[in-house]
Amino acid sequence: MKNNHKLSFSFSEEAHTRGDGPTWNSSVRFVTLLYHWGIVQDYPHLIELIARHQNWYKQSRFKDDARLLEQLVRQWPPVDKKPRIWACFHIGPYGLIPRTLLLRDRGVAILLKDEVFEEQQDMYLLYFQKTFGRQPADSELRFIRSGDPDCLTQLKRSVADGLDVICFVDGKEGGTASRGWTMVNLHDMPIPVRYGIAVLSRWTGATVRPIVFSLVQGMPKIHSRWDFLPVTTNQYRSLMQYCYDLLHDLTAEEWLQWEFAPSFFDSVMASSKKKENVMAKGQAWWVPIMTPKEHLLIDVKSGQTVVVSEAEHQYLCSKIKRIVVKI
Amino acid sequence: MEQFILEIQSIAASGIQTFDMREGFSLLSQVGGTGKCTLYYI
Repeated sequence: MKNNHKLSFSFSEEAHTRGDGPTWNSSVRFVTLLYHWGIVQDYPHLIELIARHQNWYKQSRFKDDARLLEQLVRQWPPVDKKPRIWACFHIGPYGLIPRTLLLRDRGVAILLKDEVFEEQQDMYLLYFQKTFGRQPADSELRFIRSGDPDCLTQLKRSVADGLDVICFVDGKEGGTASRGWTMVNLHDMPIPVRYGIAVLSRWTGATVRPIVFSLVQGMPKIHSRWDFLPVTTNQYRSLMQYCYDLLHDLTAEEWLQWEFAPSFFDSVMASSKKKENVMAKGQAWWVPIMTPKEHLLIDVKSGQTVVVSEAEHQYLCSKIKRIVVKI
Repeated sequence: MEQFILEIQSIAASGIQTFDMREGFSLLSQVGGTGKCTLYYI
């Protein structure tokens, strides 16, 4: 029996009493995204990824950095002393990138978006004081607001002063203006990205080096590529593609640590629609999702859903939650 | 894990279909949280 009805709702406080609905569904959405991005091996892998993302999402947000930082400093790719632009992603323990550079005796200029500027600045200054027993000189640690009109000038000056610049290339700051965006391919899916870092490279003459930190079985892993030489105007897209190509080296488990991956859900699903006939082949891959009124299973391949009993639904959710994975 | 896969497929087979192809994806867009976990190091 088919029940055609459109659902349009959001989670209320009452719905939350049914458990961690939005949290659970964020994991289902994430693995659905990864499936359509073509990086899920098989159905058991999909189920394990849900459990893994649940563990990742529910972990304590505040960590001690001592052991991890020491390993990262050792693993950091050897580079010359010329200032360069580090193209970073919000993946895994990315918050340790500036500290790692400082411990490798590099001066660092960090580009921060306005809404986190004060908080992040204080954290970095606190860390510097704790590590070096003093406040940083301007030649050692500098903070630049992405919303400042002369932000690029400040960054250029920092490079000229010999500091490395840390930029997160997967950010969405800057609003929805058409300028400043380009498209890159990520696992054969086109996604929009900002190319500010390319402009900075052209303007300063600094090379760009993409780098990613992730955690694999609790151990840090660094992915990096060779320097991309200073770009010309018609190489902006090439540089951004070069940076994002680094993500093709990541496993699905590492992709789960990417804060901004879920934001590509609509783009990826729209692209996958063109591959519908291929993607929906074979047996359905059902997973439970949580809604306020019905107990649903969704086929991550086709988007079909079925209603099941509450008992069956709770049984499936609890089984997945009991899967033990080490993040 | 194989046993669990069989269980979930069996439960789904006896379920009642609600949404057609791809409509479930719109549902996922609405009901999910951000899934974002920012780690702070102290």
